[in-house]
Amino acid sequence: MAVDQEYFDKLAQTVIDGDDEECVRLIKVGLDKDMDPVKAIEKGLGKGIIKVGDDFGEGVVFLPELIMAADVMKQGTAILDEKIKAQGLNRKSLGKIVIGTVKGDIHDIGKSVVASVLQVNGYDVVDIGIDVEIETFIEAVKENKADCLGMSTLLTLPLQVMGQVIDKLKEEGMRDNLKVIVGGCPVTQEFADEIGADAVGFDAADAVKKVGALLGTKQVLLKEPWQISTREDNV
Amino acid sequence: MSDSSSVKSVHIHIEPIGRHVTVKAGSTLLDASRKAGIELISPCGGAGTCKSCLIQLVEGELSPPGLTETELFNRKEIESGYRLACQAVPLSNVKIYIPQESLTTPQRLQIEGQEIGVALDPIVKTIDVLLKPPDLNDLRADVTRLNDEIHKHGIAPARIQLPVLASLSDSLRAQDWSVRLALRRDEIVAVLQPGKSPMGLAVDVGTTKLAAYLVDLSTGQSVAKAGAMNPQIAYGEDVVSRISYAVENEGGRERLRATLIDGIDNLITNLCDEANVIRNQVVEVVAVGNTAMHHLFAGLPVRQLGLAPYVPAVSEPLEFPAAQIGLDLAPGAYVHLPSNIAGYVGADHVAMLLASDIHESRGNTVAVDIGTNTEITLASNGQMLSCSCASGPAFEGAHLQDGMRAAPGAIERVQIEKGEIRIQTIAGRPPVGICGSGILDAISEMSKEGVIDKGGRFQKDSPLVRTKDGKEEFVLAPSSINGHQRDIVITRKDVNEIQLAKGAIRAGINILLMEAGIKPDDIDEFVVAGAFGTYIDIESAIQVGMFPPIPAGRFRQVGNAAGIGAKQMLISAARRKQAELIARRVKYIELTTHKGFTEEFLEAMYF
Ligand code: B12
Ligand code: FES
Repeated sequence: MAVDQEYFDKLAQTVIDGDDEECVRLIKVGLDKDMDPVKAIEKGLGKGIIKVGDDFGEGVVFLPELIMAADVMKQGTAILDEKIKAQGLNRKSLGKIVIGTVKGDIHDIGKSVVASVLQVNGYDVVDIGIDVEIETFIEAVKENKADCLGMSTLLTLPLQVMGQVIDKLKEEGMRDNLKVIVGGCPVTQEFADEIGADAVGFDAADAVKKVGALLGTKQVLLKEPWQISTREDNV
Repeated sequence: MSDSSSVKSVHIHIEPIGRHVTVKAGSTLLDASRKAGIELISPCGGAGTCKSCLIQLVEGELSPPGLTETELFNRKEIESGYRLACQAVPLSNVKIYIPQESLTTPQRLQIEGQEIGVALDPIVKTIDVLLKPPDLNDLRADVTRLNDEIHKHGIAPARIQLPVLASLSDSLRAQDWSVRLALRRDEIVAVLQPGKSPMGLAVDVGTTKLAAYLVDLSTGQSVAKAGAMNPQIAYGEDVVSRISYAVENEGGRERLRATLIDGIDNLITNLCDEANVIRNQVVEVVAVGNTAMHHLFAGLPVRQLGLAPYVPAVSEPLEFPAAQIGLDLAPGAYVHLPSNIAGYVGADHVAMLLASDIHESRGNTVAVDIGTNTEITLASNGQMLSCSCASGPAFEGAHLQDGMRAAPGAIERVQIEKGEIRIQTIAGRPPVGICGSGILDAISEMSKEGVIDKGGRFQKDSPLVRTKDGKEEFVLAPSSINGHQRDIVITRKDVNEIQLAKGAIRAGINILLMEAGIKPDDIDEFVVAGAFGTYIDIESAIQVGMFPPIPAGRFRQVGNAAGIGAKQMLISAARRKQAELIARRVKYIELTTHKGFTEEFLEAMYF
């Protein structure tokens, strides 16, 4: 099989179908043929996930499809990213976002959906998981030099933890250079104001819109998210 | 929430029915309830003179009370938010609570259940004694006299607590030294009149509903039963919001306890009236509920139940004097709270397992109790596995565009045949909304008829689908036949909510089957308990994929099995022991950390 348009379309389709085995198989075939890994993301996987993301926003696909697609995307990019690094290239991003579900809550799905949709839209997302301690948020923000912090909870009680993280950020003098967005079903605009968050995202599409506004990237559901640059460009 | 001055319309959230309605600013709460299809008693037609349309404000702002109201209510009542619906006008979005007395037709509450015969062996037994009155030659104290007498019946000297002692001397004399003693093991808990039966109270403390039974402990028969909404609903719809209320408000936990006890106290009054029994006769209480209700009832801390890893303060059975939590019964009456299994699998589930005897079943039995949290147990080859899944309140009508709890006017059955929709409502009233069994039927029929596809998407070419504001919806009941002037519809979002709920339940079932290494078809019996479970159509539940596709004959809908289990523990010490053993035998499977959960959940969301 040649690495041509038809190949990239097939690759995009594996994401749409949520078929991880086929995706990994195709990538291996491509790489054996010296395919450009950057193009595989740009023209293949990226196209697929954008289609799914758009359809999700319009209610054409529901959660299972979106999550499976994001999962295939993740597996695929992991292989390709390694190749990109090995070739001395790197991807340019719209900003670095640390995201996690706060201490006391293990609801993973909503937060992960938001993480993958942000990723698809060109942000560099570090998902630090669930039941995340206050300290861990602070450290992750520091370590990753994040531009934005996203916190999620679906439970009423852990809501307070979000406020505590923000207080801690202030204490550490880290709040000013960081945007904070919160989300999850019990989170309201009033609550976000009360704890001093910059925004609340009510669903994944909303998250993209608000993060865009916060970081001044204003990319609302970007159509071509994978802006890739070589090291030469970066100097 | 909108600001008071500039609002053109306001949103009203009506509890305990769970209806939401938006009305023009300036409408009274009585108008608003009517618009929502809820009839309040209003003989004076809203003139403010009959004082029947009593409601309680929970959240938001109302017009200040007028003269009629300030005369009617004392300051404390006004402070607690009591108002007349026909007088109060919302100034912001509000949440109100309608007490049972103000509703023309009570909500449907389930207190029935299939009974299983249990040999009578109550923990409180009676003996009749006739004492020789004291005289100048016999100066023994009352208790000594009593103990000497019961010794003749082969009973060792009894313990007697201060509250019982306080009434003993008077009772003995008032009854001419002839008394019936209620003995709880070696303790005298009540001094009854001869011929009066000792009574027990079994209570199922649900998050939404309370069900109580008064049981004659000398015969084991229920003599009265009563149901009511759990009045704590005013402080939050689900368990987690109540936990939050308890934690975040000063005195919140105590307020929740007192509210609950108040509600139960009302039920006791009704039960005693109905059965012609005095409170002093009620000598023992068994209460079952989910772990949070259990803790709030006993006044235990709940913070740890609201945060991972969700551990209960206590799992073992508890016993304490009823007076300690403010229940006014026989002076020495005790409360027994059976074991709970985990933070989200409570004593009500244990009682349900006990009542359905699944611990004795030979083959593979699944037992589910569907609620905002659905508890599931699988008994397979002598082992029992339980889990809890967060199915959410969609089946109670919450978060659905036209959802409501099961009350008159709720659409409870739906059939679509050759493009024609047939509906049935509770009490045959004009439809005002959809309750759990109705939405389940509707979605099952929609998927059967191809109105929605496997993923829950509306099929645009279906004649039953219309587009409104760019969104597809399904009209279940047009405004022309309704109890209010709006169409009752099912939206894509409603379908999604049901997908989440049924997906979570099915995923829970599948995980337990996986853990036990069996397939759906190996299930010999499938027990469905609880109010919602009693009214649902099993075929619909299978069609939407909430239950596995096994022959309909293997399902058994048992009604309020938790209440029955509680009753059994009331009349039989052996059953009480059995419940404790069941709770100990169950292996709890934590879904939150289960690797397979998300995959099963996603899979189970399809139709
Ligand atoms: C699936 C589920 C679970 C699964 C979780 C699996 C997993 N790995 O995540 C399991 C079964 C394990 C579970 C457990 C519990 N759950 Co649960 N669960 C649900 C359920 C059914 C669906 C949640 C979901 O995934 N939704 C789909 C996603 C895509 O939507 P979402 O999370 O809202 O996310 C969107 C937005 O909110 C937003 N968003 C979310 N996060 C963020 C973050 C940012 C930064 C931004 C911008 C936006 C954003 O964007 C997302 C995408 O559109 C809901 C009920 C319901 N119908 O919602 C209950 C629910 C959330 N659970 C609930 C409860 C109580 C629990 C338990 C505590 C009790 C129990 N045993 O059931 C446990 C313990 C969990 C824990 N340890 O924390 C309650 C919470 C009630 C409350 N008032 O707090 C709910 C609402 C059900 C209910 N009413 O009882 N649960
Ligand atoms: S309806 Fe009579 S007082 Fe309100």
